Amino acid sequence: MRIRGQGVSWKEVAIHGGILTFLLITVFPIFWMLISSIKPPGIVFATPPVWIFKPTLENYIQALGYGPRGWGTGMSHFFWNSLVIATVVTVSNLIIGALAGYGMARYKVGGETLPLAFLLGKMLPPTVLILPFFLIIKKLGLGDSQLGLVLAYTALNLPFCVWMARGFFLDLPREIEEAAMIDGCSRLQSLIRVVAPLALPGLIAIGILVYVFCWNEFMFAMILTSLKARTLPVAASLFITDEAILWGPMTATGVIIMSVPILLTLVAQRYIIAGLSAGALKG
Amino acid sequence: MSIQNIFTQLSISAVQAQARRNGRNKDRFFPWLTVAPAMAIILSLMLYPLIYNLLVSFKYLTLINFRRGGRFIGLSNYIDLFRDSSFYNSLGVSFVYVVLTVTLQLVLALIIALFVYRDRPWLRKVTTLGLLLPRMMTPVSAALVWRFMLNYETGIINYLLSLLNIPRLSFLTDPFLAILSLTVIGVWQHIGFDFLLLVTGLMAMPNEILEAAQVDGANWWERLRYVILPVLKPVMVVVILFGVINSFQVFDIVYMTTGGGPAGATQVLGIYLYRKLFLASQFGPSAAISVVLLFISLLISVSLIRVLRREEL
Repeated sequence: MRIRGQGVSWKEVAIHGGILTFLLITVFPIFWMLISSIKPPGIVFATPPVWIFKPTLENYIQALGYGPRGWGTGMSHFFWNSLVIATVVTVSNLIIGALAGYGMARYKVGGETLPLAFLLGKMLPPTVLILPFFLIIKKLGLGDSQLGLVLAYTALNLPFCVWMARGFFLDLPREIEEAAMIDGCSRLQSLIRVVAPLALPGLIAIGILVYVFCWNEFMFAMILTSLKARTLPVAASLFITDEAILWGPMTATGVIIMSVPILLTLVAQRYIIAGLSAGALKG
Repeated sequence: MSIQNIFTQLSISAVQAQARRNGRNKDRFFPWLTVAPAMAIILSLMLYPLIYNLLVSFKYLTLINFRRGGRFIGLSNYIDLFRDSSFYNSLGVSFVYVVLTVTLQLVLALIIALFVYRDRPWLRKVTTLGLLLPRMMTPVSAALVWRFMLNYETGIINYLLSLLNIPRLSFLTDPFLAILSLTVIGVWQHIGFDFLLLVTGLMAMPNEILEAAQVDGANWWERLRYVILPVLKPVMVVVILFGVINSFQVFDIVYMTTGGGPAGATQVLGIYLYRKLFLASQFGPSAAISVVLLFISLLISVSLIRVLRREEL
């Protein structure tokens, strides 16, 4: 047992030490990538590792396209693609998903069956959709287009959005809405002015998770795009092949890509935690 | 009552009835309007592709006869698939990978969760954040840094081993070590999610039952074995099934680190499907694999849903 106010117990020290060590090992790869990305290119892969050095942005400059082996305008173009696709999918999925979730929570549309169908869709592994999507996108002439990826990501995320939104709306008391309607709001007005603000934390949680999914997604992006609509992860994966030479710029690229989801996690961890646990434990 | 009054009365009630009917119509249509867009998207972008995929799996379809819709060849894509030894290899690799990652991450997450859930809120918060970072991190970045660290010549892990006088290991090119390396990366990615669910489950557990067990003289192990684990069982089942779903669909990390090699030792089903899709000139076989994958994952999802329903989490 812990002895309060009488110094530290060894048991507490051991537990904290053990768990913090495990945590340090867990975040070490992230830390190592950051450190390596600001090393001067010559010592990035030195063995034994160089721990003391003058930090430099040279790798970033090279990765961003200003150095001799840079990516040219590619990087900013791929960045733009990632940004547009993730934003469009997040906004449209939130609107469509929240509306459907609301309908199913409030009016029991589709009874028990419809929510179940969305839950099943949420658990579908994306892998089984890759071939038909490849063929359909080809048929529609949407190969290598932002729209093609937007359609794919919408399909992959919508069941999750609907299911989560339904859960959040089920938790809101019905009376608030009825009061708004007695005060003269129409259904749509009460939904937008009263219900949506109350459901906002939940919607933010869903939105962040969808955004990060789109930002991180690799398989569909690789198969459905070639150059014009290529996203950052695909661009980085092509970069990875020349292993011997480019470790420096590669780690810089890795840092640039992961900075978005990592910063979102640090800033909005409350929402992410709420979203992840609600998404899994609400049956 | 004058005739005029009666008419006024009638027209008023007619208007009211009309209004009520409108209201009822609205009641009937508005709810369906809310779900219509979502249903349209799911039908056209999920159900239709799945049905289309099922059709393709019975076809001989190449890029050349693609416009004309291909030719039906019955079950031969499936027959070929079930005769392909590398399909069974991939099934086995996926199975081993799923069992290893799911077990390891459950056990580790549970141990950590048991230490932090009750008396150490600070440690709990730090742990949740730290363990979730790998899950949110872009998998391509993660694969990149792991390749960097596991590199035979220059990787820091082999350097650390050399400090302990252990010879260099070829983490990604030795068949046995490659699947273990992927397991470590997979556990690293998903342990935070397991931890989060388990901690949530533990914190929802009423304190009284633990105190009662303590009063009854149950020691640490007995409390775990007879009180905590039974209460936590439904959450653990959810954690396991989500873990299976996640690990079963692994693709990007494998593609970016070992690429399925060496000699198919890490060729999970996702990689197998990808190989078939791009190395073969026809689509039927890949469609057949997709159907089999769909079938397996439906089995897993349905059992997960049944657990969720039964336990009312």
